Formats: sequence, structure tokens, C-alpha cells
Amino acid sequence: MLQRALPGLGLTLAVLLAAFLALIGVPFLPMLLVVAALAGYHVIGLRNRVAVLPADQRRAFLRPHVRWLAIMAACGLGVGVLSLFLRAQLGFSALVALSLIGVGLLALAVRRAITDQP
Amino acid sequence: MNRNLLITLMFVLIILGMATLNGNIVALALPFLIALAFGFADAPPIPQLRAVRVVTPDRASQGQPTEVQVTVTNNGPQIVDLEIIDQVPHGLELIEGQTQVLTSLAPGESTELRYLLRGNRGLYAFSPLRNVVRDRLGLFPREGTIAADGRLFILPALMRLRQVSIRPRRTRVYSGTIPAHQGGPGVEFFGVRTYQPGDPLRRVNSRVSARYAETFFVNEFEQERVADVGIILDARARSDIRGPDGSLFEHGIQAAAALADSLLAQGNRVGLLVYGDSIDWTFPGYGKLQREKVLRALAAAQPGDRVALETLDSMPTRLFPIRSMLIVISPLVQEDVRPLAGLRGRGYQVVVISPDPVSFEHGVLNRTPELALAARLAQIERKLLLQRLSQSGVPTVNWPIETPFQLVAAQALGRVPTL
Repeated sequence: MLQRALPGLGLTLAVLLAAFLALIGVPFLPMLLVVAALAGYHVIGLRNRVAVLPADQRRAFLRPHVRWLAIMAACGLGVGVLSLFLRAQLGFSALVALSLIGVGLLALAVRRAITDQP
Repeated sequence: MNRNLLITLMFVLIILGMATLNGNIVALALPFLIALAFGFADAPPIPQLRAVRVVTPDRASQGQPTEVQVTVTNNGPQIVDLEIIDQVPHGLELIEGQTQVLTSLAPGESTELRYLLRGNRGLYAFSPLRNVVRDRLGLFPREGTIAADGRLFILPALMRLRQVSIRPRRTRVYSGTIPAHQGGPGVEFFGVRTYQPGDPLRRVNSRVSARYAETFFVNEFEQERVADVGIILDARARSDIRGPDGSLFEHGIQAAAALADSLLAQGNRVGLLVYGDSIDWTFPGYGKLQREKVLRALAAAQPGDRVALETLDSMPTRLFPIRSMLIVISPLVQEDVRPLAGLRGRGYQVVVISPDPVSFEHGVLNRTPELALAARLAQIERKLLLQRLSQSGVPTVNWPIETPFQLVAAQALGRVPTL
């Protein structure tokens, strides 16, 4: 039970640490920490799920997931850094509004990319 | 990933950022928001999967490995993350292979599950496959089932009996191996009768004919024919006893299987009635097909209780041909004497083979002086029960299960008791 809850607990602790670092004004590192923790959480979850598979099947199954994970991490990091920059330039309210619009557009783009797949 | 955890953390960060008026903390919620948006956009549609299950062989003996092969084909769009879980029916043991697969399937692509099972006697029905389809981040799983029918019969262990020589009062018209109490073509001498035109001369009994001046006598042999035999297996839970190594009912199953196999091999017409939770009736028939039907019925038989079938009074005796031979396999309870005697009164030739519940239970309990006394009392009570039944005109054979069934069958059904 504890072993199952451990990744979630680690993610929570990492997020709280990142929030604390952000609160005391450390730049960039909190965002990096959150993205890394999120990626780690996903990887551990995947690793636990593929544990039942033989090694060759495991690799084949994980390949597309790892690719997606890399894209997600890059996007998350990019958007996070961009948001920090935008906040510094435009202010808090503009940041939130822009972020929501950006996320919405991104979701639509992903949806379209997936449904267009053969 | 746990969707709820991500949503909670996102809201915690947003609230914390708003409470402290710190935009950096609110910005930390964005990766979560993006992950959730990706997951939502990537949420899988309802999968269109088709499964075919092949069980080879679909009838096996106890302990024999059986291969199960399940092929799942994707008839819809691409599935990135598909988990298929097959559930092994309770009572079967997985000896090789996997019952679970994690894969991705392109349109039209198939995946396969292959594993080996073995188990004890029974009829096992496979349940539908469980499937879970996930998006790439595993945030929006969709569970479902895929129909994949399959059945596996594990037949009871078959004891091969040497020929069981039954002597039913009534036989059928077809030739077989059972003496029919009628003169005609056969092997065993039956009597002499006066010569009829057409009788072969080698059958003329010269010694008897010499005593009479103008009459010839010929030898007659006993005709051998097949018979109708009904096997009634008592599957009432109240008459069953369970031990650590099995139940008394299992011995009854094996006895019924051995008798059916032997009687059918002799060309007789055999029917089976399993009387317990329900009345499972296998219509009388001949040959290998009937043997298979009987064995399958025995494989599926389970002890059970139903108020309406607590006593043998409700037994549908009309199912059996009138005056046929009925072999009842039952541990017996006190109330069974009257219905069994009633069967005989209706013209059936009834023989009871009774697996001994007292010695069976005594064998699995700890030996104490009190137990020995109780066992003695129970044996006396059982002897009286069997005696009452015998006095009613129903031949009854007690079967302590450590005794080979061959001996019991010969005693109950054979011409000369050998036990």
C-alpha cells in the first residue's frame, strides 16, 4: 500500500518544495522541479505497469510513451518559462488569461492531430 | 498517472498563489494543467475490439494441461495503450503463460494471449475479457469487456472396470452380452425343446432324443441381449461429506463414470440422473456419443441443496423405461428408504451402491476415544439403514471408499459376489 502511494507522495512533496522555493523568490528552479517531478511520477507509473511484460515487449510498448513524455516535458518547461517571462512583462492577470487561451489551443491542436491519424 | 492527484495539486498551487499573490506559484500549476489538457485531448474513444478464444482440448482429464489461446483484433482506430486481462475460472490453475497483456494496437492489428491451464473435474465457463484503454499519460482510462466465450470440460478420472455382469429382469430386443432368460442363439446352455423344422442338426441332443421313439430334441442356448440401465447419482449436499482431500461426492462421480463407461461398452442403453441442486437428466442412449454425454454431465455435476429436492421423493422416475435396472449411487440418509422401496414397487430393479460416509469422515478426523465410540454408533445406525433397505427388496452394497470400486461393483451387480 505504502509502495503504491510513494510516487504520489514524492510528487506532492516536490510540488510543495517548489512552491516554497517560488515563494522565497528562487527563479526557474521551482518550475524545473515541478516538471521533473511530474515526469518522474509518470515514468514510475509506467514502469510499474510494464513490469508484467517480457523485456522485448516492454521496450516496444514504452517507445511511443517515452517520445510523448519528452514532448510533454519540453512543452511544460517551455510554457512555464514563457509564463514567467510574460508575467514579468505583462502582469499576473494577463498571464493567467494567456495561459488559459494557450492551453485551450494546445488541447485543440492535440485533439486534431490525434483524430487525423490513419 | 492519478488524475485526481494532479487536479488536487493544481488547485492547491493556484489557491496558494492567489492567497500569497505570488504569480510564480500560480505558474507552477501550468504543467499540471497542460498534462490534464493533453490527457483530455488524447482520451481514447470506445474501442472496437473483437476476441476469439480457442480452448485446446476443450475436454480434458484431470491434471491434463489445456491450452487457451485468445486473439484480440482492433477493428477501430489506433489504440495507444491497451491492457487486456483474462480471468482464469475459479478452480483452474495457471501453469504456463500470461493471462494479461499490455500493448498498443494499430487498426486491424491483433494481439494474442496464450497460456496453459489444468484443474480438477468440472465444467468451467470463461468470462469475458476485461480491457482498459488509456491515453498516453494514463489520465483518462476507459474500462470495458470483450465477449470471448469458451468452455472447458475436465472429465472425472475414469476407473476401468473389468466386465460388469448385470442380470436385469428385462432386456431389450437387440443382441448384447446380458443373459436374457430366454432360449435362442447364444453361448450358455439354457434347456432342451422339441425339434422344429429348420433347426440345425448339430443342435440335436442325441441323448434326450434317444429316450423317445418319434421325437427329436434340440439344445437351446440363452439369448444375450442389451438392457436399459439408469444411473442415479445423489448430488444432495446434505448427503455429501467434505474432507481435506476431497469429498465423498467425488467418489460417487467416479463410480458413476466407471459404471456408465463399462455398461455402455457392453452395448447397453444407459441414462444418467444427477439429483441434487437441480435434476440433470441425460436421456438414455448407446455408444460412444452417449458415453461422452454422460461424462460431460458428470463433469458439470456439483453437490447442492434445494428444499424441493431434499428427499428422493421428488425423483422423476418416469424418465426411465419401465422395469429397467436402476443403479443408485448415494451415501443415503434415513428418509431414503421409502422412496427407494417405492421405486422397486413400481417395477424397477433397483440396486444401491452406497459410499460409506461414516468411514470416510472417521478417516479424516483426529482419532480420539470419543470419536471411536461415536463412529461405532454411527456405523450401527448405518447398518440398520442398509438392512431396512435390503429388507425392502432393494439390494444395497456398502462401499467403504478405501475398497477398490471394482470389487464393490462386482458384488452389487455381478452374478457371483466376490467381496
